[in-house]
Formats: sequence, structure tokens, C-alpha cells
Amino acid sequence: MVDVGAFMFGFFETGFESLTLGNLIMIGIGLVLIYLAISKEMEPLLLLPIGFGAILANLPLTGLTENGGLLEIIFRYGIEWEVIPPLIFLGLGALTDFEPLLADPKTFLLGFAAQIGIFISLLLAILAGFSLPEACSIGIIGGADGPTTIYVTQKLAPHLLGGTAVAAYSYMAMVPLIQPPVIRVLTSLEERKIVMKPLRKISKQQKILFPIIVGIVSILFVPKAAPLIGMFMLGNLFRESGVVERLSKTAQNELMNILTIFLGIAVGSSMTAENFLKPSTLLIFAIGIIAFTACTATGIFFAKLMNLFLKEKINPLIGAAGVSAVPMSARVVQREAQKANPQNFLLMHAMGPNVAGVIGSAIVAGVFLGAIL
Amino acid sequence: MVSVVELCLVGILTVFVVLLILTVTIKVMIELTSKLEERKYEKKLFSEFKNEIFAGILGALTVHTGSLSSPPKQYSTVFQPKISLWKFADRLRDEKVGWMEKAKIEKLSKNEKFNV
Repeated sequence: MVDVGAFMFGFFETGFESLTLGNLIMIGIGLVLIYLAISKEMEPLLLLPIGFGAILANLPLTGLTENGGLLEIIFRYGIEWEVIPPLIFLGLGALTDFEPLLADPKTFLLGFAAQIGIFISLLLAILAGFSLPEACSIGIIGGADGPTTIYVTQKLAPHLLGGTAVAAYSYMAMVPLIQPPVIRVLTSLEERKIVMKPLRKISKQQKILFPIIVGIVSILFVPKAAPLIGMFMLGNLFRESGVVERLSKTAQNELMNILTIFLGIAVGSSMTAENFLKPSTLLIFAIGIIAFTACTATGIFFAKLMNLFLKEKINPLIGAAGVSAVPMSARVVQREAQKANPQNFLLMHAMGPNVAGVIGSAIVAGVFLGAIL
Repeated sequence: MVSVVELCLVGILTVFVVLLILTVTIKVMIELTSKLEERKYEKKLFSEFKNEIFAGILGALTVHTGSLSSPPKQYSTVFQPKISLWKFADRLRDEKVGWMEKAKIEKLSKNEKFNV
């Protein structure tokens, strides 16, 4: 392969000679990500551009990841300048219906409970030898929130960005595989059968007030969460106000799609062989899955704890939806509940903690940034 | 830099407190707005009820006089209170027509694609 020549007709240098084993492995990893995105439909919107970005970043002599190169520019202005993750939150806000959470506000607390797993994984990461900022970046994977993970990692441990981002999105895609065993182990059949009464109707006025109140209260408490929470709530206000339909639709579709392309490419570009092929990456993946499991478990336990004080019992399964993989974990809860009792419809009940989890993980991110930076 | 244990304890406590406060605030907001909406609905019901009675009176008069736009001449001096009722009915009708026109215009302007 090397004999093809370092120079093509003596005019310009080819990449063959500079190709290292690390580059080849990373190109292989990029191909695996593309395969998972296309064949298994695992988070294809992210894993596909990440995979191709990783391939591009590992082709030698392109200059793409060097200062002034295309991928470097996308990474610098998109991720380093903190533009893309908060704007993705704007789109998420415009896509999110908070009605289930408004109809049953106590499910906010389940959104809290699922975040305890983040701290458990943080401790594990510290025990595994990571520094505190690195451990925070790894722990936040458990929140099951890609943009939050990227936002925190970029601020606290940018050298881990490729590993944490890929771990977060891969595990988010694997929620239907990771959560059911945990749910079945931690709940009895009787608990899974608990039927919850239908949720109340929420008025437009209440839906409009929600993002304003949540935005002000949470940012006053955790100012460093402002970029994420602020954009999330603004996007939701676009949606619920009903007077800026064009902005709402743009945030939900065009803007979100453009940002997703840039985010994927930027994350992929950070997956160079020297950044990614380290024992720490394997550890990140290992702790990441523990983080996911721990968040699911703490959500379920907290739902059981709440049942001790509630007159109308809640189905503990909805605690598992406190991780912010929206709406994947709510769907998993619905499926598990229907297996136990085909007449049980928990989807909307699970959406409450699910969207509360997004707010919860953004607040945890704000706490980490506030305490460490 | 903060210690790991401090960060975990403060972090868990902060998230719990913020989400608890949000739970309470949202619950209070829902209760208050629900009550306000209930009152608004009651008022609306009452005004609809009034309109029903009013329409009933108008209906009866219409049957009696065969006219909706002006009071019957033969009654104009005898039934003074009814004349004011007729005037009031006309004003209501005009207002309603005006309101409907306005709503139509608003709806049209919302459908306009480049209405900034």
C-alpha cells in the first residue's frame, strides 16, 4: 500500500504513506458507526455524521482537523464557542410537549431521582483514576442527554469529547436493550401492573406560563445552566405561544437538522486516533453503561419511595423514564407495562419524568460547571 | 477545587431543591390558573344564559311584531321599555357583526405566509 507512492506523478503528496495503524482502526470504528446507523438504525441522525466525521478526521494530510481546516472550524465555532449544544436545546424545547409533566407535577421529582445515577458514576470514574472534571464529563453520560454531555465535556475535559459523545449517543440508542432487564429485576409483576388514572387537561395559558417559570426559577438557582435551560425554555415558548409558528417550526426542523449535521461532524472530527485510542475510552464506555443503569435504577427506587407517601400509587416503572432519552425510555416503560398488563397505558405518565429528566440533567450540568470552573 | 464528596452532596441537594421548588411552583400555578379559568367559564356560562333569556324575549317580540330591526310603531309609545330593548338588540347585533369581521381578517392575516 505504501508502495503506491508518497507522491502522485511527482506533483503532490498522497496520504498512503502517512496512514498509521491508529488511523486505520479509527476508520474501522467510523465504518462500524455508519453500519450501526444504517443497518440497525441506532441514532442514525447522529451516528452517521459522527462515523463519517471520524473517517475524515483520520485520513492523513487532509488538513481538515488542523488550524483553519473545515472540521476544525466547525468544531471551534460550533462546540468550543458553545453554540451548537444550546441551540439544539432550542430545537428540543420546540419539539417537547410538557403537558404530561404539567398534568402531574410531582413527576418532576422522578426527573431528579434519575440524576442520582450521574453522581454514582462520577464516584466510579474517580475510583477508576479520572480527575474530577473528567469524572463529571463521564458521569453526565448517565443523564442520557447528548447535547448536555457534549456541553459539559467540552468545558471540563475536551480531550474526552469523542469518547463521551459516542458513548452517550450509542447508549441512548441502546435504551430499549439496557433498561428492560433493569426494570424487570427491580420491580415485581404486581408493581408493573399498577394502573394510573388518566392525566388532567392542561390549558394553553398554563403551557405558556410553564417555560417562563421554569426558566426563571432554575436559572436563578443554577446560573451556569442558563445556556441549556434558557434555550430549552425559549424553544418551548415558541411552541406554546402559538404566535410564532414559523420560528417554532424552524427550530423543530430546519435549524435542528442543520445543527445535527454540524454536531455530528464536529464530534466525529474529535475522534482522531491519538484522542480516541486510549484505555480511558474503554473505561468511559464501561462507566457510561453503569451510569445509564444506575440512573434507571435510582429512578425506579425513588418512585417506590414516593409510593410510601402517596394515596394514589404511581407505577414505579415511570421512574425509569427519568433519564432524559426522550421519548425512547417512555416507550420502553409503556412496553414493559403492557407486558405486565395489556390494559395499562403508561406512555403519557412516563413522558412527565422523561421531560423532567432533560431539565434535571441540564441542572446537574450547571452544578458541575458552577462548582468546577 | 471542591472535593468529590462535597460536589456529590451539594449537587444532589441542589437538583432536588430546584426540582422540588419547581414542582411546588408549577402545582400552585396550575391550581391558580385553573381557578381563574373556572371563574372565567362560569362568567361565560352566565353571559350565555343571559343571552339565551334575551334571545327568548326577542324571539317572542319578533313573533309578535314580525320585525327584528325596528320596534313596531303601534307599540312605540305604549311600550317605552321595549323600545330601548330593541335599540340594545340592534347594537348587540352590530357589535357581533363587527367582531366577526375582525376575527375573519385576523384569521386571513395569520394565513399569509410572509406576514412578519
